[in-house]
Amino acid sequence: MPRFVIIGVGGTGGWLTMGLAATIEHSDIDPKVLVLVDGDSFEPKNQERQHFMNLGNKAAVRAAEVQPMYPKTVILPDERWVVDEIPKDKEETTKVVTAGPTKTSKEHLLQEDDWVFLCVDNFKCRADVVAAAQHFKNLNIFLVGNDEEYFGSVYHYERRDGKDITWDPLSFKDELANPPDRNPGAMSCQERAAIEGGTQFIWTNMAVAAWVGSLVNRLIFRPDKSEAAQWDELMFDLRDGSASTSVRRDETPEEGEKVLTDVGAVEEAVPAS
Amino acid sequence: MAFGSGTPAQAGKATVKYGSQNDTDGLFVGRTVAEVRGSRAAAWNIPTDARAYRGRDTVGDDYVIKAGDTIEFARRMGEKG
Repeated sequence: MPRFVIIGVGGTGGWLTMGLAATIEHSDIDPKVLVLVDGDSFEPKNQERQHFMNLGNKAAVRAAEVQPMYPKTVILPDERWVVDEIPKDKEETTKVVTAGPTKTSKEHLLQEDDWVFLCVDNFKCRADVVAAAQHFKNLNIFLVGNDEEYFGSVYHYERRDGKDITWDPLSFKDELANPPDRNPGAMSCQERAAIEGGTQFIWTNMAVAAWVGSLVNRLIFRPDKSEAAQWDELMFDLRDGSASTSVRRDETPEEGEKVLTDVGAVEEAVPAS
Repeated sequence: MAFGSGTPAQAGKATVKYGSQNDTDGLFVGRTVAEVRGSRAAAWNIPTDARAYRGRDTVGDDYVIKAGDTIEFARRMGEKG
């Protein structure tokens, strides 16, 4: 059975943690494992839209506060930043982890069959994790995010039996193929402190968590096979109450197949049209 | 909806989409993405930075829409978490 891995447990990730932990606890999933990953720490200013009772590393604080409520579920904190390469600076190596296998890292974060929720604050980290997914045969990644106060989005990238079921977002999302930002895990403390958070609302964080939570509920906890309910990408705007969904998969299963090779090389079996 | 003077509409139709809004019309055929974007931007509230896609391929504003095309305008994913 899968592990549930939330990367980024600030705003959206925090609300998703609460909903997912409760759902896992009271489901038939066995074993019940929820991994919370974040290298960042809570600051007093975060209280406007993130709920926490103590300062400190977000993954550690979140796990400690949520675990007592859900005793059947193993909630594991991982206090590292997720990056694409381990830095050569030995002092930094314990603070970061790669999402998938690399030629230089001894361990990596993700495992086969993981359900991964990318709730980070930048496109570069999202791109790094999606790129790492190529090295797994079975993986589900949910890319979630919000900006401009009321806008939010969810994208479901699924790999099954070594093939892309939904479109690899790196193949058509320019913000992932060419990220306009840097991964905070690859920055110094001073550089991270200088990052502007922008305007976010707690309600939009909650809404993003609700949309992705409802999708996962229909995919795994209460399976819903009806075609009418199938979507791979969603965008919403709370300002005008609009929401639209899209299917992001090829009509012909043979198109866009990828095969696994050794770490560091991914070959495309059938070029996508 | 007026496109102004320019290339006459060709046989067949094309579909233009943004979010939950879409329209299929022969008038789109032979028009550029820029022209169609301009004609729909206000009514559909298409962001200025929304990209135009034909399937999973990005097309530029100078792409001339063909019969049978589905052109989707899509904004980038949410950045913050």
